[in-house]
Amino acid sequence: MRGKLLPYALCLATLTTLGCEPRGFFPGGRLSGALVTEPVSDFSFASSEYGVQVEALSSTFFPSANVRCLVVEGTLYLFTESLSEFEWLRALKRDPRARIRIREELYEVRAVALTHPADIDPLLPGLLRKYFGMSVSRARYVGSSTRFPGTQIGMNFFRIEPAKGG
Amino acid sequence: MRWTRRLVLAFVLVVILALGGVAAHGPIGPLPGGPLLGELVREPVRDWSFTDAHGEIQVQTRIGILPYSVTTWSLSHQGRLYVPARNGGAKRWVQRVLSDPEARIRIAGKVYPVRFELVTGSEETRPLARVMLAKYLGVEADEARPLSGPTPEGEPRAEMWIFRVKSRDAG
Repeated sequence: MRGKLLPYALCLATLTTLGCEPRGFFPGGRLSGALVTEPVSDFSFASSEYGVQVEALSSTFFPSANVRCLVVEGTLYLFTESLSEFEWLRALKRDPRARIRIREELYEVRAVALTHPADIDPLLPGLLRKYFGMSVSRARYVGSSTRFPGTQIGMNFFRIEPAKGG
Repeated sequence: MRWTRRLVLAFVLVVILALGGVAAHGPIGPLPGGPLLGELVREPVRDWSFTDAHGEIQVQTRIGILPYSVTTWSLSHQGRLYVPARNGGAKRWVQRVLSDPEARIRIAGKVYPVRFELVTGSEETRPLARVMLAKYLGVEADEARPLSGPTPEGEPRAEMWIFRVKSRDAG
């Protein structure tokens, strides 16, 4: 019985991993599109995008996802917010090799995880304006608080850099 | 061939059970669900500050005659309860409470009959911005205010809708 079911299981796994694009909140398979081979140092053209797609190259199971994005002085930043952490996100934190898709074009990049407040805090005004419709001044990331213990969503920030050797 | 038929049958059964489960037990994560079950709270709630300890609540409206529920955020300020909705214009439950404001919310297993009212004045929404930053994003700011007015051309930006939520008679 196991032998007869195996082909179906393999087909399902192949289709889901290779054939599906990320949809909304749900991660997807490998991203398709025209690969841009020249290194990109200025991502200003992406400022008008509400979101982009990212694929963690070291992830094999549902490696891509829709993510938030922000361009600050030509540098592209990615941002995720969720209560759960998908495999692609864990893979990207371990290994920054990634591809991002903007307007059907693919870029091979490194997505460097940001954890230091000095890197994150300057991004907050732009991010809160774009994704929460808020204007803020002197915003700083503090995490959990006494009034709201543990209600915060998981936020992850990545800075996009050229792929090594790219 | 026999195994193919059984596999298809099993798949259909799993889909039916999954849909039935969702319909009977409310939303699961980002997936909407059916009626909210739980202990019905009949007394009007005067102070909603207990909701500070809960990251997510569920809101039940109706689509046609069918109950429709989602998981979402809540904010309390000076004992009052608010429910924010990012890009509310594109959300089905938001459109529903605009036309039929009577709804039910579930917090920690208890179900409260409530009425939704869209807040339009910036005086009432301004303090809620800082509450939302602290409760959900872990961000503090010296000043925070929701942006109003049309989005500038070429600037993709979310619209934050905020509803005031009040107890109503359990009926």
